[in-house]
Amino acid sequence: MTNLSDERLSSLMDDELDENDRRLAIEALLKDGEQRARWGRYHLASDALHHTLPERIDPHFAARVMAAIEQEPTILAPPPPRREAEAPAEAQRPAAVAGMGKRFTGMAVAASVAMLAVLGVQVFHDNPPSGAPVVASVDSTPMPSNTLARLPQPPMSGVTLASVGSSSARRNQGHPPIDLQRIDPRLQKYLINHSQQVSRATLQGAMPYARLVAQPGVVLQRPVQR
Amino acid sequence: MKRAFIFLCLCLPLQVFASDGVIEDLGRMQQALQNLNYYGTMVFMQGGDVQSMRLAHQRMADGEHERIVNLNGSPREVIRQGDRVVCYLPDSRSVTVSQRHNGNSWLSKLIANDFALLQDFYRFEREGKDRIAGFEAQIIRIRPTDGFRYGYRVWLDDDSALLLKSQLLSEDAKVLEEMMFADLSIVDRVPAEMLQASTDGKDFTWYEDDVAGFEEDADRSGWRIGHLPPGFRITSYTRHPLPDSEQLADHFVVSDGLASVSVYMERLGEGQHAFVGPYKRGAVNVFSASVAGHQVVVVGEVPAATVKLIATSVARVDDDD
Repeated sequence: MTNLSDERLSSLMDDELDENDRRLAIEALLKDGEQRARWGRYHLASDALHHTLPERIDPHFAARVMAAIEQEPTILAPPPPRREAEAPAEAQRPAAVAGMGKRFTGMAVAASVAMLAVLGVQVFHDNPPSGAPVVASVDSTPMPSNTLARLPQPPMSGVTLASVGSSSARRNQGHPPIDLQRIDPRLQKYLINHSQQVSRATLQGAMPYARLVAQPGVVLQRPVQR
Repeated sequence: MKRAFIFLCLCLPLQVFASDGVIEDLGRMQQALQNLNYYGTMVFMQGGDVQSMRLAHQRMADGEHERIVNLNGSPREVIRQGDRVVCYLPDSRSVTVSQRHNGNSWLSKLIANDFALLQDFYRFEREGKDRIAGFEAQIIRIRPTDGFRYGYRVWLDDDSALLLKSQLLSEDAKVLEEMMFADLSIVDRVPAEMLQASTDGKDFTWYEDDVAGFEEDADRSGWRIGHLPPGFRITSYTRHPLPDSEQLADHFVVSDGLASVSVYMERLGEGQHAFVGPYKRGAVNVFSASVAGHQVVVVGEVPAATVKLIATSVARVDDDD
């Protein structure tokens, strides 16, 4: 019982398995990272279809939940519902997994969140072929035609989920992980400063300023009072 | 076949002649942008995103006054008075103030009749006539000769040479960004209220880059930019704080005369991680790297390859440390 069929995985998600089958399926998930990744992908796709993905995702949160789960002795069956401090408000999922223990939900969410985070970071890290500036972008690049393309896009992010579908599994070596939540504001200040200082006397006319007022979602952190 | 070839051969010299006067027209355009008084509604397209904006420009005794405000979404606005650029961002309740200090490099090039430099990397051509916002316009196309810069297409008013519409074009001539007047009034005097910010920003957080303005010696910056694409050179080096930070960042501006690229180096705080890699939005490409405990960010309206080449060649020079 190491390989879950698509049907079983889907039934597990919809809470349509009986007690025994569910236990077996969960055991299979716990044993096998590949199965867990699939589980994460299923949830990601489901969330995308239902438009229930949070706008912003903190990958460290996923790591924290994962670490907490690592430390749990064993999870043979979904425990009875209990208070779960780590369960994030933003990642709370609606009824789909209502029949399952929250801890397990936490793992599923963690897995899908981790998945997103990894993909996002990979996309950000992916080096475009030289001379071809094709990177994760929020411009009009045609979206991949799969359902993931309908994910809501966080404003002003180079690591938009829209890129998930087209991401190759290429990994860049040696880069520390990026805190997705902090990329935007940290990049923003450079974008703003560049546009403010770039010479008005170019062929761009007022375009640098148009960029300044057009950029959505500027959030500057750590306000410094005048 | 043969005929077509001969025809082409005959056309070639014509093409060269046709570019005569183009540079002069672009010079007139610059003068018009700076010296005329005008206001109007513009459409700005970036990727698939379209927004409309209101622009007003007035030449005054103390320099140029300009205001651009977004008519969509949050009413962000930029007010420029001379070289002081103030950006009001009501959505984040913040104001950023910056002093431009990289002058009119392009204009000075034209005036100095030094555009031979530019012609190594761009070809200037006429592309016919058009009509924009009710004005008869001529179209000028600027094609890059390599993959390190973008192309432009500009529409100039026949009479005043004012820029009516402009496009930034990718290497394969796709429109990355476009700006166009939907209506435009060229006047003697722009009503004063059109140039004033709609908010005093009193309860906003202000980020002022007021230390700016002093140029420093790039050779003593402690940094070396190892590779610049052909035609690009450092046009300014300053140290100034960025919004959100009290410390001074190193800021190089690199330009080929038309395209400008900013290179920032900012020391990372305790436990702070650099972000690395490419980012793209419209015509703006970014490549960030981590060098010697510093966040390096290269930003410009140039292809991804250009910012990457520059960012990955930045190195710390320890001589004067």
